[in-house]
Amino acid sequence: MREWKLGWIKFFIFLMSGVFLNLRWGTHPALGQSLNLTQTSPAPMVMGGQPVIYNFAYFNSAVPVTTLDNFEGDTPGTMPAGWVTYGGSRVGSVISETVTAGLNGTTEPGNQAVSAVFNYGCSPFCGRLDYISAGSVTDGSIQADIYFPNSGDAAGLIWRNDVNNNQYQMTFSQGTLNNINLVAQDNSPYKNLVTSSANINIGQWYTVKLAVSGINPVLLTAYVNGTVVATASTTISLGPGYPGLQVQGASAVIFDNVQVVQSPDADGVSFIDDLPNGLSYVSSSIGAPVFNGSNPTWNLGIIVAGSAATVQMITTGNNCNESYINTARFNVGAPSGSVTSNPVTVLAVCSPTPSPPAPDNKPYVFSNPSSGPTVNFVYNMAGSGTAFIRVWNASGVLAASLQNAQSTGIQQSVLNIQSFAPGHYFYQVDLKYDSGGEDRFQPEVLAVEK
Amino acid sequence: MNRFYAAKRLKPLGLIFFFPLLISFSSLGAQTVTGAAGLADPLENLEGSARDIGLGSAFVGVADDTSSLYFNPAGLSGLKAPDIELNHNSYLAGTFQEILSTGFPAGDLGGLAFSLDYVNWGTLDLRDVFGNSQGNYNDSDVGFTAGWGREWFQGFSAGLALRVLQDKVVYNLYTSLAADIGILWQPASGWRLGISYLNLGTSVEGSSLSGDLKAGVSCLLTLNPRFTLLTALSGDWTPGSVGNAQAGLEGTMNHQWTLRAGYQMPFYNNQIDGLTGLTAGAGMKINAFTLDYAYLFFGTLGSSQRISLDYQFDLPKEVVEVPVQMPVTVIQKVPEATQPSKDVEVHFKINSDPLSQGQYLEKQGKLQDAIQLYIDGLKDNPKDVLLWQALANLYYRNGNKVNAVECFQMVIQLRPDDQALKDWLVRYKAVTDSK
Repeated sequence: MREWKLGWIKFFIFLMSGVFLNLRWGTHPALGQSLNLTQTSPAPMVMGGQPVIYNFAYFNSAVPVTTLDNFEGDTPGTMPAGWVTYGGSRVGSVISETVTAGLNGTTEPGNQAVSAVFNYGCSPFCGRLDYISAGSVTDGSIQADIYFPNSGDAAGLIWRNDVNNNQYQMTFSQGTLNNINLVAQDNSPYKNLVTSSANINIGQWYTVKLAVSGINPVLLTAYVNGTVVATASTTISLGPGYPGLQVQGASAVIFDNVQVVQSPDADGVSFIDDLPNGLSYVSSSIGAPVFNGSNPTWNLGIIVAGSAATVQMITTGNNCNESYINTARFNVGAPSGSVTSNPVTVLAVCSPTPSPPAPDNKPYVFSNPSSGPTVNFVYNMAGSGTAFIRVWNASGVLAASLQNAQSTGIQQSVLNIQSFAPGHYFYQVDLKYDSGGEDRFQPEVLAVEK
Repeated sequence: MNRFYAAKRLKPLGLIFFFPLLISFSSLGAQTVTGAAGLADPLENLEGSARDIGLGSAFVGVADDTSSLYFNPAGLSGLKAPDIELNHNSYLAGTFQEILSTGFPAGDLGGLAFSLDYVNWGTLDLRDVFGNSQGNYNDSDVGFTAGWGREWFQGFSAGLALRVLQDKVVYNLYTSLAADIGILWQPASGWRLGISYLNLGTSVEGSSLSGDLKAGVSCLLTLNPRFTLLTALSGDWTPGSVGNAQAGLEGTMNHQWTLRAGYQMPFYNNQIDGLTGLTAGAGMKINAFTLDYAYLFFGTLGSSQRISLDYQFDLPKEVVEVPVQMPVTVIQKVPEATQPSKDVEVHFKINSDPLSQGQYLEKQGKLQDAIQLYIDGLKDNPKDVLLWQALANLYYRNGNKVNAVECFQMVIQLRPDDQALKDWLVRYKAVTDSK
């Protein structure tokens, strides 16, 4: 298991208002995972009894490393450079792995490929080529173009092939079954995880790919011509090893355009929000969490290198007598200690309840002018009912509408104006009560800046 | 009032940080934002004269006066006389708009028009990010528009307008340019078809301009020498937003009194309760002055009331080239031919009044054109007895006895001592009645 260093860069943005945003950015070694967590919406301002929304974005900023070999630079009739058999220790079982002229891959214009032929009929797979130039790998994928010259040929892709002949395999055979198997082999036991099928014909090129991610469990995915044909999960946890190719005994299969991508994924990731007292969880955009005490926790599993996602969590602020400091963070299960993440701390500012609409209960909007992303409409409900807020552009064309079910008293409605063009707009507040009454107010001007 | 912002921004630095971080999320409800929100500088219902609005804004296919500048600049090609016009628009929520415009014929160049535009956005209720009152503020916009239209082929005109605007939104100032283009085709007497695209330009602060593609047709019917009826239909579409259809009617009596009605139907739910889209208007012409009024219903939002006062200057004299057999006055002597074999230039001047031109058209056999010319002349000079007589004679010759009698009666009304005509008209009517 690779050791990873954990590092933090911490900085503060301190603002005049006393509001601050505390972010920690992680550094990571080469091929290391780094989960960056940010808050995408502004720091919320808590109104007593009203929802508080947190929008978080995260991504694994690790950069995948790709290694390619199209065999064009190799000498025909020799072992291709950067490759060894059986991890370099079992060359005696192979009679021929040679670069062949005159065969093209499907995706590049070269005229050389590699053919692997083994001299005896061991089964299921005896002849293996390790692509040592790609380095030892943990998460990622190997892809190759493959060509079956003869009926009944069988071959495969391997991942994490160590010196003890342990590896994950994607095997495929041209025959009556056209089987595709995902296999985990650990110290001899050969465990077939799943079997699928695809049409594999002789005399045609196919692009096949095996992707492996995770520590325990480990996820395996098989592709043919870009389509997922099989997936499997196994608790057989293998350490780092080489990617490579394999050929069943007596087969003479041709490979080209081998591409290895080392993708430092983050495994066993949990997203945790340390809700402070006074804030209560309401809902989220990624389903129901499990609770560790009062803290909601979401098990996100694997976050693939380069991937990004967002989480929205809605809470309720119980009162307006205090400010809330909320921190969201990641826990990473594996590789142990290998993932850096940056918790986001958000100070929710408690502000006084807006002044009542006046005079004559005339609603108002704030801020005005506004540069967004939202504006608040304040009005006084004479009873429970629904508030309709409508906004028209300067020509009287509807720009936005909003409706809220509200109870009696001074209430607010929030309109997102991020997409509004700068200029002047007219808005009108229409309060319709459950009792049947209605308060419709004269239009007013809302100014939007950019 | 539409604005094309390109921007010069004046924003206090602190607000850049302060605003995004102090937004509250209170009540979260069902929100809908339309495509219109993201478009800068909408045009509809804002520009134009009281006459245009009274016609339901179905003016792109009418475009026969200086206000063509706002709907279809190609219509400027038909300007017959210089005019100056002041428009006042009492708009929604205490806002108002003033437009000063002028247009004039420019000979071979066609027609030109210019306008100054001022919009006052009323008293803005300023609030900070906590809702605290920060007092009031008056925002205003100013703009200048120049337009040109020219007839390129018989009955086919094209036009262009350019607009510079300065729009202020409290802390920000936006200065911008926009362009309008249009074409106008008159396939037959009284018929006009127009297409224009307004608000052509680049994005403003990341928001596209609210462009407007308009197309329309109009037909001017001369029901009798005293009454004309203008019908207009049009449609418009804003890319990325919505479209509307418009229809308008304008009835004019004695070339002096006018009533208008129009309707604009949106192809979307504008969520304005109550009567909306309907327009009504009236106008009157007193000598060189024309006063127009229009009322545009905006349902529960209120209304837009527009008043336009136009002054038209004297028609310029027009020089028309005619064949030599026309009765003409030689205004330049033929130079003496020192060498008889050489060509000489001869310049003639003819009377440019509608009567002379109409008589010439009559001799050409273009009787309908002559009738229209007399009617147009009477719009400007409704008490021109010679025009009434010429029109009456033409109707008489053309067999249109009803109109002929009516025109002869106008001649007698204007020349009551013409006993001979009275006697003749009695006999003529008697002959007519007996048939």
